[in-house]
Amino acid sequence: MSVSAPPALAFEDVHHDYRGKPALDGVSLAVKPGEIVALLGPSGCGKTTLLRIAAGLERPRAGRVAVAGRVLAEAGVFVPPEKRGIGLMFQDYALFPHLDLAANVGFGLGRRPGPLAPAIVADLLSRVGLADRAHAYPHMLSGGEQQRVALARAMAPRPSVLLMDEPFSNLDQRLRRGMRSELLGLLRSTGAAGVLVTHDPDDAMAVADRIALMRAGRLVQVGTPEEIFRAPVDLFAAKFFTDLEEIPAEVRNGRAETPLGSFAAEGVRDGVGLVCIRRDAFVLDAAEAEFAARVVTTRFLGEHRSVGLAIDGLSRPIEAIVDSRSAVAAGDRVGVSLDRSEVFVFPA
Amino acid sequence: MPRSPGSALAVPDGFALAGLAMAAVAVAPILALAAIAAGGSGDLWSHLFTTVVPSATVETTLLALGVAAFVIVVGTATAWLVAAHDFPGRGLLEVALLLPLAFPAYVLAYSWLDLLHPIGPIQSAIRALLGYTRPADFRLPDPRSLPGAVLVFGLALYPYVYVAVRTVFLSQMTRLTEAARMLGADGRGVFVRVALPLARPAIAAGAALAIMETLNDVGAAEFLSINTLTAAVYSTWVNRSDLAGAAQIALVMLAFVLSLLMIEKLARGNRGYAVIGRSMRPMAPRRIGGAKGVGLFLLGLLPAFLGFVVPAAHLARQAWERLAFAGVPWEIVVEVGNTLTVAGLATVVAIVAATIVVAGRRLHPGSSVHAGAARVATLGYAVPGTVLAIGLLAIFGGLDGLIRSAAGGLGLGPTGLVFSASLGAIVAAYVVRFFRLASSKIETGLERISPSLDQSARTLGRTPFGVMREIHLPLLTPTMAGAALLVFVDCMKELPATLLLRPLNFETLATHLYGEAARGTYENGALAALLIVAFGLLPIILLTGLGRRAPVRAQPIGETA
Repeated sequence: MSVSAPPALAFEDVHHDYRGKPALDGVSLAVKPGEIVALLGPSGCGKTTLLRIAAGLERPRAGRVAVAGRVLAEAGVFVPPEKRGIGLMFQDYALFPHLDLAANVGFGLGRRPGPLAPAIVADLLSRVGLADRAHAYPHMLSGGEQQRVALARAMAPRPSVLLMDEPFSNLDQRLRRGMRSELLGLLRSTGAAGVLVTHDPDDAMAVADRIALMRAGRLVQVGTPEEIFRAPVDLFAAKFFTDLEEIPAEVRNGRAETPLGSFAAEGVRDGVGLVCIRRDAFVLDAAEAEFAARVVTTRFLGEHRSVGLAIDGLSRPIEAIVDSRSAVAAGDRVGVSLDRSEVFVFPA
Repeated sequence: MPRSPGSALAVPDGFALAGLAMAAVAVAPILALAAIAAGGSGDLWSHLFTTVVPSATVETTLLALGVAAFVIVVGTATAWLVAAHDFPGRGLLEVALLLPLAFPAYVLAYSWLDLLHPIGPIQSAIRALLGYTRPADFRLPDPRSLPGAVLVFGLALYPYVYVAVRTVFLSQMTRLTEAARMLGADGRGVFVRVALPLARPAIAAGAALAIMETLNDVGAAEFLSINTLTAAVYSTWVNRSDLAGAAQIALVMLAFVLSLLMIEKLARGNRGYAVIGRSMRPMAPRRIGGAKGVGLFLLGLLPAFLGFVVPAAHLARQAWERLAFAGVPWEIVVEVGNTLTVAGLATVVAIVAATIVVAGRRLHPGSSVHAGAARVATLGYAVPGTVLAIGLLAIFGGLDGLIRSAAGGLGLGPTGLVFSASLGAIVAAYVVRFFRLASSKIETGLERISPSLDQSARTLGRTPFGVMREIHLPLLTPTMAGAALLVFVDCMKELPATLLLRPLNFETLATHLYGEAARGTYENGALAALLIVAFGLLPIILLTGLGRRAPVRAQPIGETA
């Protein structure tokens, strides 16, 4: 990949609204060739709108959309979806109920498909493990199988960009894991860039090279899963990935003071602040305890154990998630230390 | 007494009895028809089959094919126009295209014949424009011909296809058309490769309905000089008083309807297109502005214009002139009363019976008696009104004969006709014909009530009847009101069975119109026709009120809840 290669898909300052209600407010994002980007955010944050604008199913009110340097949408320009060469996998799959699997997958190869079409269809069906069901109809398939057909159909015209709308939302946990790796494998083998929309941070982290976290029509943070997870820019970004204990703090001269101790708070202005601690940051029975706590509840959760801790100076117990092999019982007094990489300080 | 779900076979309950009674009422006329036909003389049979039946079969077939072609093309094209395109006036057009539903074919035929009469408003205007003075100098082709009949029936009946196809386009197509476009299909490709194949079952169903209405019609074909099988049944009975002969032709018609239903099944294909996913967002239409948009609007408006606006305006003017000249004629008041009485009675019977039968089937899952009776009871919808009336005449005539001989044996005077030609016969005919309409609407409403409500009511000590009374009826009230309106209006418009079964001198709005058109007089006909059309508008208002949806462009798109 040369440095000068234009992005596979680029949004530049894209604005959109529905009946005057803003949906996108100046989004700029570039997806590199072969890269997989997850648009992550809660319901109504605009992620699906952004996807539909890329697909050409919506026309942005302002801004520019380009694929491999070719402008698809800007003022006075709008390339219709069928001329974009972009693949889209729908959340509900949108398989054609009147066509069998082979015809569904072959649909994008044109009305009079060339001599190679049957081979392309057969190859894709076998890659998604459905070679023997070529003449089955969509309603005869399970949800996971329908998903695979939708993927094969979207890939058949060899799009340079594949868009996916909540690709895993209709699958159960077990299928979800299998489908993630299958999707990754197929995308990598064709070299297509991928953009998926999801509200599930686990899906995003499992599949994406980079995550674009969105809220209320804006990008909050863009980075690798690890960057965003390790260094969230604000409370919203931190809370989106895991549950947090939020401890009110007094910030003064770059330090945040709490009943649990003092934390580095560079760049946070003086006044009331919030110390946010991921629940797995607590270490019980630590050799060098930072503060003492009393165990009020415990619950066994398989790999983990949830422990309610009462701490002097806090009005209510906090919840810690620890290894389930650590034996603690209600009533125990424990010394606690903190993994400081899992602690963030934000202005309140 | 506690009842286990499977026990219905052993102890027939009230629901089962009601279902069986309705099934018997639906089947009896057909059986009577067969019995009477078999009892007819062989001479007549061969006479009818060499003279009347072949030509009537050919004309009926040609008319049916012509109407089918017209409604399929116009219904599908208009549905695609309003579903997939956005142009100024699209919302208005969506509703306007439904309006011809208010015109029964015989009213439309009546109106157009009056309009196109050699000394009627259109031909007179053309002559004035071209400078001719006498009707003999210039004349448009006579609408009383097969092409004329196809146009009139087609204009009255294309909305059946339009409604069915538009529903498919609006409810199922969104994601699929988007998916097709993402895969490179342009507007035409989407229509040919996705929309049309998916709409095929709806097209077939709508066209079959239109053809069945055509076969059922007795007025329009006669006004337009088309000698259909229905007209043959009617004239064989009315002009020759030959019940057996009429029954024989009626059986030919039934064969016709059965083959139509089979063709429809084939055309629909044996796959039901199970729609996957739950995309309810309407299709994003292609925006077309400027002169092209105006052109599309006008083109789309044409069927509504010819099928409603022009004839309705004509009827309104004629009726207004008549009212201004003669005031409100008393006969019309009586006829409105008669019409409301028989239609109202039939509606009440049909809705009550349908509710009991449909709820009975639901409350006895797995019972073949309840399910079978409910199914048989709906068959009457497929029997043309004339055929049904001949069957009922056979039954009621037989009953009257029994009473006559019994009265004679007792030394009483002549009893006359007790059953035949009574309001009861008309009501029975309406109930049999429109039972399916009532039961399908109520079934749809019932399906929206979760079965767990039934189950919890049963575990809380209610009998099946108690569940119907305390759970279904309160929740179904709006559904039943809607169904009652539809049945009522269909009863009001019904002509063929009313014509054959009415008592002497009993006139409804429909039979009045028929009488005036048959006699060639047009005194109060326009007023009766206008009233029928006005009532016919009620279900359309209901339809558009229920079908209302938010404008397409402004929906928040696909965000997961």
